[in-house]
Amino acid sequence: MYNKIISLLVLAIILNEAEGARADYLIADLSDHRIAITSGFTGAEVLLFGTRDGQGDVVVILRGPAEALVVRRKARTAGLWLNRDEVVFADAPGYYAVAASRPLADIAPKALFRDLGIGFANLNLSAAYSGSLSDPDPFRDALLRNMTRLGLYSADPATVTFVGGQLFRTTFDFPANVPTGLYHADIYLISLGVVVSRRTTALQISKSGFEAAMFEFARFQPLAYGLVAVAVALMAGWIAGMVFRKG
Amino acid sequence: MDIYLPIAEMSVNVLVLLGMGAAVGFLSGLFGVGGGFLMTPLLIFIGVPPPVAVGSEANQITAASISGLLAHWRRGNVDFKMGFVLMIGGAVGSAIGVWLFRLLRELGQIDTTISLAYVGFLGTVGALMAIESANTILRRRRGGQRRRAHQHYWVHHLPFKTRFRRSKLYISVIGPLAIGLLVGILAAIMGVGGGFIMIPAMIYLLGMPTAVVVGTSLLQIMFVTAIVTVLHAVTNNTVDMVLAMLLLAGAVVGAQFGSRFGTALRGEHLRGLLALLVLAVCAKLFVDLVVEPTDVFSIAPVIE
Repeated sequence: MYNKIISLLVLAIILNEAEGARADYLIADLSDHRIAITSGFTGAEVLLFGTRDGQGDVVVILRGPAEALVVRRKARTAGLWLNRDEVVFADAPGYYAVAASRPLADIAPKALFRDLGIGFANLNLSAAYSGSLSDPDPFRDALLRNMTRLGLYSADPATVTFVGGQLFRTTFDFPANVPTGLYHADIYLISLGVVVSRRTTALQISKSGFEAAMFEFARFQPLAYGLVAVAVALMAGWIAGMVFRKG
Repeated sequence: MDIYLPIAEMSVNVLVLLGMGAAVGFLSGLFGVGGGFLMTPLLIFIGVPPPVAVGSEANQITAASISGLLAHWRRGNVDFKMGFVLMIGGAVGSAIGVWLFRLLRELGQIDTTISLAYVGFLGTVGALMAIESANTILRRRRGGQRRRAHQHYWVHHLPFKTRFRRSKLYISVIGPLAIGLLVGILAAIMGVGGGFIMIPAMIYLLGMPTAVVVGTSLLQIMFVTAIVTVLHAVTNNTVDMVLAMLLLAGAVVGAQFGSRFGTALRGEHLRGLLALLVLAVCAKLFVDLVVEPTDVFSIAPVIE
């Protein structure tokens, strides 16, 4: 970690020289641009770091690839809790986290964060539901709540900490069930209630090696995968039987 | 030591999976049952998505049944003609079952259906076994008479009679076809071999000699779970080979200890214990269905 900070300082000095006297500049990067899900994957942490000029606040938003999610509500039916109503959210982000250097309310008026789509209240989720259902809001809340429970969304902004005035850093955690795909980090420098500078950087999360091979085989050649699964099972079962028959 | 399961898309401790395989393998060796009806609920209890639990467990049962089948085959205890008729029914049943599974999954009702199927079948089979073993224990204590060996039922009087030489039977094919069909549907929806339904049905409904029942049912179980594995892989993408093989590794070792331990116990005591175990799993699933969940909302990916 100290090595990282020292290299950040060096980077900052170099960048400072390069950028010269230009005002409002913002530079940021992620410690990794690629996370590989291998057989030992139990989650990951990514460091976002950067440097800014002046006195503005830094707000970072990290979004995962959009996916279609269905939220279902159980109701007691003949004594059993069965899924009854459902609402489909066609493009919910698979991951959503915000980090800020101060509480959002202290940084800028609410309208700015609404425009930028920052915060749970401003997350744009399009709901599709059948006519019998009057109010999708509980379903929207349930989506946010369940995704938060899975560790994929976070309601409260993480802290962006400053190191020596100009350098800043924050971390994002990914659980083992993190969706694969392209992630976008938007970094805003906000001063006196307006965005003075903005950067975007990307992160690719993908299955790798054996895990990727198995997943793709199962997804794209399902018949061959099924036949191989049966063949492997028969071989394994037969060998296991042989081993224990002798013993 | 954690391992990421590529199809279940979750991280699980390898030792937990091996331990579960060993525990269920021990019980299946002890009681002489397949164990699918215990493993699938256990997988669901540790958080494996129910569809993946069913698909992967079918895959594991294929592996678990082959060595037993070969052993019975060597001793001539497999009625291949009966097995063939059962397999035809089983193939049709598993196709129906997988289609139904897909439909219920799209409707968001598959998890409840799996639980309900387990509660219904485990409850019935567990209660019957408990009563039967209790009666046997009581009768043995009183020293009463034994049950008649062979009886004729209505299934024997249906048309399309054929001779099953190895089973010493001349009966209608409709009975075995129907049994095979039902077991195929159950295998596809519950991720079980279906021995717990098929073996009593073969003995009491068809009147097959006990010696060929286990070998013939293993033939059917291996064939049907193989079909179910392929169909689930194609239709639902829910077969996790890594999960299946880890469970198998634990199960083969556990089964060895179980079968050695089992010879030390009396049959009706074994059946009584198994009945209690079956009823306990049934009760846990039932409670989950009737108690108000902590969150009545749930999220799931939309199936294309």
